[in-house]
Amino acid sequence: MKKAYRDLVRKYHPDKYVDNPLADIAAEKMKDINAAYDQIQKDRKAGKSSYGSTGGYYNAGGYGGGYSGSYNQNYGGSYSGQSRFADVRRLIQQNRIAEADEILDGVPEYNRNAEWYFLKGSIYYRRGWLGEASRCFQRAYQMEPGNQEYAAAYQRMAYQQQHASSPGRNTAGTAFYGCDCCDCCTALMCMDCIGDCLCGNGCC
Amino acid sequence: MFGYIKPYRPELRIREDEEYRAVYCGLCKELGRSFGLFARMTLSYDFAFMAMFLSAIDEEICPSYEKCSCIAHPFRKRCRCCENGAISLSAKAAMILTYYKLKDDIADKGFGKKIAAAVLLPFASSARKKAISDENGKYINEAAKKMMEEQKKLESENCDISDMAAQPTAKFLEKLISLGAKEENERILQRFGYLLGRYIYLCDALDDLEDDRRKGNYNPFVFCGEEGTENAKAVLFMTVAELSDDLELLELKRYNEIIENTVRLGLKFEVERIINKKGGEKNGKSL
Repeated sequence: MKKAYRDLVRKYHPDKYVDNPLADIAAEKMKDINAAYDQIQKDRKAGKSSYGSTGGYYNAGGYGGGYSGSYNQNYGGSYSGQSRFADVRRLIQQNRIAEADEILDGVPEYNRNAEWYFLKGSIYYRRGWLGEASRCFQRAYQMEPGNQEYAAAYQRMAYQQQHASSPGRNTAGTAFYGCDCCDCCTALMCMDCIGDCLCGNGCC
Repeated sequence: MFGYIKPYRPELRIREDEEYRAVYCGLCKELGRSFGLFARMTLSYDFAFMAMFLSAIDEEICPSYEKCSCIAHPFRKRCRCCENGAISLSAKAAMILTYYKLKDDIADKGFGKKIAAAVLLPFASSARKKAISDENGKYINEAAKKMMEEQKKLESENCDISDMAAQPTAKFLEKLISLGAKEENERILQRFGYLLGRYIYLCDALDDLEDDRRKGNYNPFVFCGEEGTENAKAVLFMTVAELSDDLELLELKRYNEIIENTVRLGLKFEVERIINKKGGEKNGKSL
C-alpha cells in the first residue's frame, strides 16, 4: 500500500504542476489520495495492533503533511510581500491570463526585471507556448541566477528539452531509455562469452 | 494530418498491438462505408489515435470487435473494431481536413501536386458534404475553416515565432478533442488537444524543414538558421513532456497502455526518427 501511495504521490506531485493551468486538478487529486491514505492508516490502527507500529510513518513527517504544507506555503502568501507584480501573480493564480498579460505588456521595456520575464514566461507556459516560455524563464534566470523560483522553472524546461519528460518522473515505460541497442548487444555478447568460458562446450 | 502520432510498437503487448490494429482497421472500414473507396486512401495514424483516444475518454462508448477480411490484406482475417461514435467522428474529421488540405494544395503547391489535388478534390468535396450533415460535423468544419484561414494569414506574414505558427492547428485539435467533453475533464482535454495540435504542426514543420529551406517555402524554423533542427527538437520535446504530465490527470476508460505508450514513447521516437532520417525514408508504412 505504501508503494501504491508513493507512486500516486509522485504522479500528482504539486512540483510537477507548478504554474500549470491544471495545477488545481492535480492538487485536488493529491488531497483525495492523502485523505484515503489517512483513512486506511486510521482503520488499520484501530483494527490490528500489529500494523500499528508501521502505520504512522508517512503521516508523521513524510508525504501526508509535508506536501500539502509546502504547497500552500509556496503558493499562498510568500510572494506578495516583496513582489512588484503581486497583482499579476494573483491574476495568473486565478487563471485570468489575458488580464495579467495586458498589465505586463503595459510595463515599458526599461522597467522589465527578472520577475517580469518570469511572469511573462508563466503566461506563455499556461497558454501552451512552450518555446517562448522557456526563453522567458531563461532570461529571468540569467538576470537573477540566485532566485530559486526562476532557476526551478528554467531547469525544469531545460530538462524537458533534453528528455521529453518532466523531471522526477521515473516510470517503468521509460526505464529502457538509458540503454541503446548497441549497449544491449554488447552486454549480451559479453554474457555469452562468459557463459562459454564457464561452461565449456555449449552447455549454455 | 500527417501520421506523426503512433505507438512505439516494440513496447506494446501483443494484445494491445492487436487492439490498436483493430481500431486502425475499424477506422479504415468506416471511411470506406461512409465516404467511399477514395476515403480509405486517406487513412492515417493520427486519426486512428484520435479514434482510440476519443473512445477512451467516453464512458458510453463500448467497443466491440469482429473478424473480417480486407482488400488490402486479402489472405489474413483480422480483428476489426466495429463502428462506434468515436470512430465515425474521427472519420468525419479526416474527411473535412482532407478537403481543406487539397484546396490548400491547389492554391500553393507545385504543378504536379496541383493536378493531383484537382483530380481528388471532387471526391473530397462530396465526402465533406456528407460529413457536415450533422452538428458535430458542422462544428469541426467551422473549426477547420478557421484554422486554414489563420494559418494562411500567419504564413503570409512570415511569422517567425514557432509557438504562434502552431497556434491554429493547436486550437483546432483543442476543439476536436474536447468536443462533447464532460465538465470535469474539459480543461484537461483542452490542454491536451492544444499540445497535441502543436506537436503535429511542429513535427510537420521539422519534417519539411530541409525541403522548405531549399525551395524557399514558409517554415517557422527557417528563421532560426543553423539551429532550426535543434530548436525544433527542444520545442517538440517540451511539448511531449507536457502532454505526458497532462495525460496523468486524465482518467482513461480503456486503451490506457496504448495511449500512454503513444504519448510517452511514440511521440518522442517520432521526433528522433525525423531528425535521424537521412534523405530516403519518408513516413512509416501503413499497418
